[in-house]
Amino acid sequence: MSGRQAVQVLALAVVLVAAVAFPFWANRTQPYYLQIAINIISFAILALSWDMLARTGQLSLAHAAFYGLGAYTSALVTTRMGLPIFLGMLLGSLVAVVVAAGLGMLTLRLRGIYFAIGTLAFSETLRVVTNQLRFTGGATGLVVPPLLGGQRVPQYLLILAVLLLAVVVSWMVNRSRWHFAFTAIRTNEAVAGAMGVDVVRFKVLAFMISAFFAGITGAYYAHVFLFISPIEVYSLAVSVGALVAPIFGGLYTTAGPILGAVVLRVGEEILRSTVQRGYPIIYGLILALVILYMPRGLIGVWASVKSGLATGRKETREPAGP
Amino acid sequence: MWDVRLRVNPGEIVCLVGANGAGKTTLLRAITGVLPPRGEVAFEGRLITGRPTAAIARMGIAHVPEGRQLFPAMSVRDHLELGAAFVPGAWERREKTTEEIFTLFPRLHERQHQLAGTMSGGEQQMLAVARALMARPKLLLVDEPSLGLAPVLVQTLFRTLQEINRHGLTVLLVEQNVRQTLQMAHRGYVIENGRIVLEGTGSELLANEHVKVAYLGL
Repeated sequence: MSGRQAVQVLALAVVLVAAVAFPFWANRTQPYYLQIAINIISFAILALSWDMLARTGQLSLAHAAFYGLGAYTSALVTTRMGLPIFLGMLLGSLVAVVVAAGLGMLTLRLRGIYFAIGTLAFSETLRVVTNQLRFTGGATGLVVPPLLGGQRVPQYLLILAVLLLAVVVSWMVNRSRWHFAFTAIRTNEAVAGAMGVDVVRFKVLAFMISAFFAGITGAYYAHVFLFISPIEVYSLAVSVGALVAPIFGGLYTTAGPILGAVVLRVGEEILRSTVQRGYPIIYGLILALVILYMPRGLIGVWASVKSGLATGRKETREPAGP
Repeated sequence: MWDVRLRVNPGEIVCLVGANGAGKTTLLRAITGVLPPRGEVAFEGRLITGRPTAAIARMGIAHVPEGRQLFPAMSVRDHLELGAAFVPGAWERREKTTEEIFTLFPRLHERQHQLAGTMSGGEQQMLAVARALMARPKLLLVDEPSLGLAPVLVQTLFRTLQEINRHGLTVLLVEQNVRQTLQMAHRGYVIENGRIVLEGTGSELLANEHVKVAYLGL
């Protein structure tokens, strides 16, 4: 057992070193890959943060709202008030967290599809309002100052650090007592309450954690791509993307949403460059097949392969064992 | 609900019996705060009316809900840890409580890594009781544990409840299985159409003409 754990730690260390070393290589030879890597990591943070909220049974379609709030807050305070970019990004995620607490309280009593529609309505309202306001640049959008002087390598390392923070938070949630609270609330709120779980507190807390990461990723996006518009950052594509990756990779886990995000984005890139025309159709087909035939996602397939191997091994080793 | 006066003294097994729809479960839900009661509910001399369910649970009232309400995808071990996770004091003593529970229900020890959804009805009921006990409650509310269980399992379960009670836990048991329940309980209440119509010791109620005719089929 400790041998396997050592292998796991080693594998994680290798991945981490590779992820840190990657930009220095890519920046010299393949700058386009660096761009894609930044996209993938941002997408993975969105997916993982969406999943942390979903662990309490709240299937949100408002991830774009927090992403957009982060982007717009940071863009506005840095351009209109001249605040430093790091402070802007922090303020962006804080605004997302505060709004999430409010939305969380409002939607406490909504379940399933009603919750999803409520959050979608909220997100769409923000988009429409931002589209109309002169203050936010309206439909034309805003030009945003660059983060870290526009240098890709430090930008990449920063978003990698945010992903690591999200991984640590997610891992702690799944390893601590919170895991029981989240699972119990997701399965049966009334029983969770009878077990002493403060349902309101945990649901709103999950919303705030989730929005923090969505907000900071949105702010990061603004300062890396230097331009934001309502139709882009409040887009339904952001919300849907954030929920597709966890479903594809494996819900309620730390590795699943990240794996889902990486595989989906890389697959999309490969399809885009090999099948120039109609690649979204193939992409959609693969997605539909996975959701139909692998209900626990990529992680679920891995787990059943592993348990299959384990029982196979046990049978050969101790045939008469109980 | 009308005219409901129900009292459970420390150390007692009190039962509440009645037919389907008489209001037994509703009464339990009013105690645990799932439904807002219109009257008053007190625990250890303090009014707890209107407090949130989680706060009432943390005060030491554990609830074994009707139909067990386990989490099918969670293991036995996880259920036990969940039972202790959010009650002050219970989490720190969870190892010891788990040991006690495994002596009480050896079956759960054997199955500790099994998923709750794959166990038999009797095992699931044991687990539902065990999960509630993990909170180290002062008062245990048990809602129709005999539901869907074979008679022999009901007997085992009732014996276990008596044993738990001998260790000092106060029990309020809601049941439709009138004869066995009254035989076991110290005192009992009979509820009909949302009113408590009779109360007395277990043997008094067993001897009561109305109980005999309406519930025991004599």
